[in-house]
Amino acid sequence: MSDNTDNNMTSPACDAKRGFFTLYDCGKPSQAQCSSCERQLCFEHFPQKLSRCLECEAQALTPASASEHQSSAEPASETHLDLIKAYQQRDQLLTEHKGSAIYLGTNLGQYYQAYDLRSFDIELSNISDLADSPDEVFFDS
Amino acid sequence: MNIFEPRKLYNNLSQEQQQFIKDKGCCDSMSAHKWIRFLEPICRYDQLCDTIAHTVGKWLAFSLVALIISVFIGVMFETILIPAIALVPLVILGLIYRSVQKKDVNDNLRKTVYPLINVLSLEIGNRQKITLKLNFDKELVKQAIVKLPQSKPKTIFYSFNIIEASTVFKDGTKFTWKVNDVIRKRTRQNPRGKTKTKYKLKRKSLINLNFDTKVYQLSKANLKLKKELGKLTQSADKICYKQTIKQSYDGTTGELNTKEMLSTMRVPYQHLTQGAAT
Repeated sequence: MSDNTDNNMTSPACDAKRGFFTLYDCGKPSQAQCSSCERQLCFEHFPQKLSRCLECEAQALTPASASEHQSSAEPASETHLDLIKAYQQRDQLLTEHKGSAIYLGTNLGQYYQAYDLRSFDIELSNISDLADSPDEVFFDS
Repeated sequence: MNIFEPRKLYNNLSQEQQQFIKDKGCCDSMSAHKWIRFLEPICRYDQLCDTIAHTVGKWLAFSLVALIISVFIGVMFETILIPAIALVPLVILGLIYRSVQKKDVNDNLRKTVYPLINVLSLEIGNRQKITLKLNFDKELVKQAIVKLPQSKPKTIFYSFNIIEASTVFKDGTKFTWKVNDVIRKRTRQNPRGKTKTKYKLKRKSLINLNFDTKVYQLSKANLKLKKELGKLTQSADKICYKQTIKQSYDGTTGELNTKEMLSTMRVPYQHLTQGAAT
């Protein structure tokens, strides 16, 4: 994991996409690079406690190992595990129903090509009443 | 496995979390991450209780068999000591089982509501609130009765709204979800005069999605598919999607199907095209 914490102002935006049915850009500045997918990600999508990003963890997690984790996981990693499972569900659903989900944004990138997303040229920040207020940091990374 | 671990875990919960377990539900409006923080320890407690209840239940059955055998031995050797000794673990295990069951949380919280909030946390803005009303207290009381048919066998219907959730997704889509349980209690008397009671649960899970027409619209081609998309309608400011998932179970409890719910919620997205806002 390579840290770029000193360069918050100039670092590129996080490459991860939020959303489940509709994907959109994370928008946070990237803090580290995932060794597996080589994307620049923020700490929310690549918590420091993990060796790779949440989405790579989700793709590596089989349903059987997910239930094994559920019974034995330590409390600190449980929060990440639940998020990883949510990403795993997204991955399963979007892979199973290719072409059904929508991307709202302008820079989709290579990582999500397998989902065959339909790209709508709409940035949520352009729709004033839908724009989100600055994000809180909820999870300890 | 420590049988006193649930108690320790329970004492570590906040007052609100303990109240949730006592009331078997709550009603509040919080961000997804706050809900996750609130429900996660409860789910962990529930999982531990379920594991302990399962193990204690097995030992309870084993102790019961041991007691029956000890009664025979006691009769053979004309002593009450052996059955009395066999009774001790049965009573202790029974008390532990009862105390664990008393504070049991409905499995749907751990298996459906909690994973779904994790999914919603991806779909909504970090500060967007989710209003959640959970009521897993399905006590078959007079107040819950909705229908009292006159016919025989005597049948009573009880209705419970176990889950009501609403939020707004980051793309402006309004989401509401209601789960209603109707429990049918049928009591009949057989010719020998023995009364038998059977329960059946019918669950309706209503999903409602209102899409903002600034972001989405229904193409003319999709409007033609009205028969197929009967639940998808467009007005000036919103596209409305309604779908009901029906399930039925024997008994009074049943597990909600998260995968089916997410698949149902996905359906309208594939028929939407880009709206007016750019």
